Amino acid sequence: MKHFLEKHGLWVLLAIAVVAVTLAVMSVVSSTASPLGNIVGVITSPFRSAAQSVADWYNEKQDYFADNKALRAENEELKRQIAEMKEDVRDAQTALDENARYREMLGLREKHRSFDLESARVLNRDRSNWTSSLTLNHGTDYGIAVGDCVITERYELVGVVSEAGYNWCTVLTLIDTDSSLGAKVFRTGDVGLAQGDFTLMSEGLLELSYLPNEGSQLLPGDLVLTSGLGGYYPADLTIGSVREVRTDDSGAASYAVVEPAAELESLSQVFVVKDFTIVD
Amino acid sequence: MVARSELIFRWSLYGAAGLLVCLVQGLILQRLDLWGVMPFLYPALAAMVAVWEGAVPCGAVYALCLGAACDLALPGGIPCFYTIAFPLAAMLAGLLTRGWLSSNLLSALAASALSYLVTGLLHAGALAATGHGAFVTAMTVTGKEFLITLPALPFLYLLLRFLHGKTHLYDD
Repeated sequence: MKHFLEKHGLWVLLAIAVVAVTLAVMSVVSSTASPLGNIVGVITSPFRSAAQSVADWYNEKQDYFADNKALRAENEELKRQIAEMKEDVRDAQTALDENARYREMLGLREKHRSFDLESARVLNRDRSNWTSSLTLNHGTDYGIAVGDCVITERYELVGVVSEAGYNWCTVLTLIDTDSSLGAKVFRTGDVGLAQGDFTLMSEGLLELSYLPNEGSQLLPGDLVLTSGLGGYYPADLTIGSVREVRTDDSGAASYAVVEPAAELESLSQVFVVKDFTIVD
Repeated sequence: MVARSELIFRWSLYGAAGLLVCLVQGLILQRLDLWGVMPFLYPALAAMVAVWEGAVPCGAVYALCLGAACDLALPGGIPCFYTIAFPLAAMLAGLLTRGWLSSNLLSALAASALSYLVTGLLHAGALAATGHGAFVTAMTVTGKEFLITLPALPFLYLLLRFLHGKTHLYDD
């Protein structure tokens, strides 16, 4: 055996390399996870679930002993914000009612948004230092497919499903370098591309690029939403808010640094948008 | 000449060691966040096995299998990234230790550092190829990854040295 390996070791190595690369490339062309990847995911899924349960229990105990004073201050601030938002809601409702009357007068279809959501629990975060990803506890068994976007209960965008196994799926968060989607700025209406950047990813941020030449008109705090262009993802999902506007190395174009609205480091439950219907 | 049963036993033990490293990495280490990165044992495992068992062909085959397993289990943009990176790192690490250093802790750490460097350079190259060039950040992450994992490497070295001793009892 040793003599065989010494004589033909390199050919064995080459053969195994070809098989391994073929298996890996299969995962690219397949719309679901490759068979071996699916098996690995199914086998490791209960271990991840168990470990996450332990971690959740520990975090829960830790949070229980959090600073009481800070919680009270946060509570007061939130009450104030709720009061302001209630007033905004009343104003918005008036505008909505007026809009509905105009639409009826003009014979337009009623605005309508419906999402087919699937709730899922986060089993794992960031299994590598080079990506920003989540592993969820549901997969094709619940109708989840590659390309489905993932949101929080407040319709904040978390990311997009990049790999779907039988009872698991991997979500690349919106700060990952492979993530890019159409976005728009709520205040100005500017359309751009929200994409991950490796340098910003380490800070938990992403960039909004391909802005119009007047990108410097953006202000810190401007809300960034999905544009819905192309119909791949629903429109008006919250991506985040502008932190600052920078000029790229060439000096010719500007881009905005965006802070995600979803708290990616503390997510435990998310919703996968399996299908959506939007009538504007 | 080594008996077939002994070879099977040897590589089964190394496979079990790899599985143990996977469990430790998946259940404990990847939940740690130190300095913005998590400890990552796989490059060191690939390099250390090559140090103990030789770069070609055994160390490289082991690294290739480890890389394929990582590509199946870990997320990433390039599908066969670790399948290429780990054998390359293992071969370089094995050549380094055979040519200049003996099989001790220092050479294992040096080989591991080389493995992390090779993997980091390939990551930086992959980022540049996809239009997300960030060489300085990539090297910073690589350095942090190695330093954060460094405290665990002596334990990994002791485990593999133990296995090497058990599977090479009758070597000259």
